[in-house]
Amino acid sequence: MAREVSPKDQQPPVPEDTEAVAQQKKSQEEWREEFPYPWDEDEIITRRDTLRFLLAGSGALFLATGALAIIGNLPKGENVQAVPIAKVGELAENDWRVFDFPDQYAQGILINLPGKGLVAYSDVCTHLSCAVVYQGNGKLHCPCHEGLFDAATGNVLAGPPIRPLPLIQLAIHNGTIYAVKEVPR
Amino acid sequence: MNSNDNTQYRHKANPDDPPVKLPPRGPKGFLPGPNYLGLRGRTAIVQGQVYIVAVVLIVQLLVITDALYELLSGRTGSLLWLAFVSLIGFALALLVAFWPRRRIEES
Repeated sequence: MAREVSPKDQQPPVPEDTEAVAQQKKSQEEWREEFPYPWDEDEIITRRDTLRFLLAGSGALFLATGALAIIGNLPKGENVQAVPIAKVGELAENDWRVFDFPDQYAQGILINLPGKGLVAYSDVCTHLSCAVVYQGNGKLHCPCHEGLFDAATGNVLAGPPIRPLPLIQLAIHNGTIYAVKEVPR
Repeated sequence: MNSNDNTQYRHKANPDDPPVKLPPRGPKGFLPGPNYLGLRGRTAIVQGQVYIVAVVLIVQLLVITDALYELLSGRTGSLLWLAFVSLIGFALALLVAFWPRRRIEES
């Protein structure tokens, strides 16, 4: 919006204002003299500090990833142990049982499949570690997110899981069924 | 609008823009910009370094997340590859951080 400029507006500021501004500027300069601080360099230091921090983080992440790779590739023992889980003939066809393997903190599921016989898998769903149950129709069901696995192979049939269930190898000795070894897949 | 006005300013996207100048010439040719040798140029370079290294760091975070998932899933075959990718990221971050070592020349 245009405004008509009067001659009074064009006059320079009154001397009192000029003195006040000068006084304020002088006080600021005195303050800066008493506490000298390189403001421009401060901006650079901040960015460089950020860069160093990011660089250190990058190195730390590389070391952590390398440590995970080393841990994952450490030579492992055979981890073979025979845990008795059932008697031969104890499970009827399509019957199933949950057992502790290799210790009480992990479970497997033993199924007597028609036409295939005894199979065993880890009952931990490969999606988000819920326990799967046998449905009786040749499928293992994870109730958490509706995952379905083939009971004959352990492969994924439906749902969010993308990896098959770990297989548990079985052995039969003197009429007893033993869980021997878990094979991650 | 008069067509004569259009022909008058047809070489300028905006008539209020300052005239275009060539960038300053350095010892090895044209410099990237008028402020390249000064404080503002150096600041822009460091800012760019920060952005690039931050992107590398984000990728490394994704890599270590996947590595942890693979390890806890019992699949260790891809862990060495993931560590190699993370190493490449770290090497790239080192390169980006230490390559432009130009000192600030006050203009």
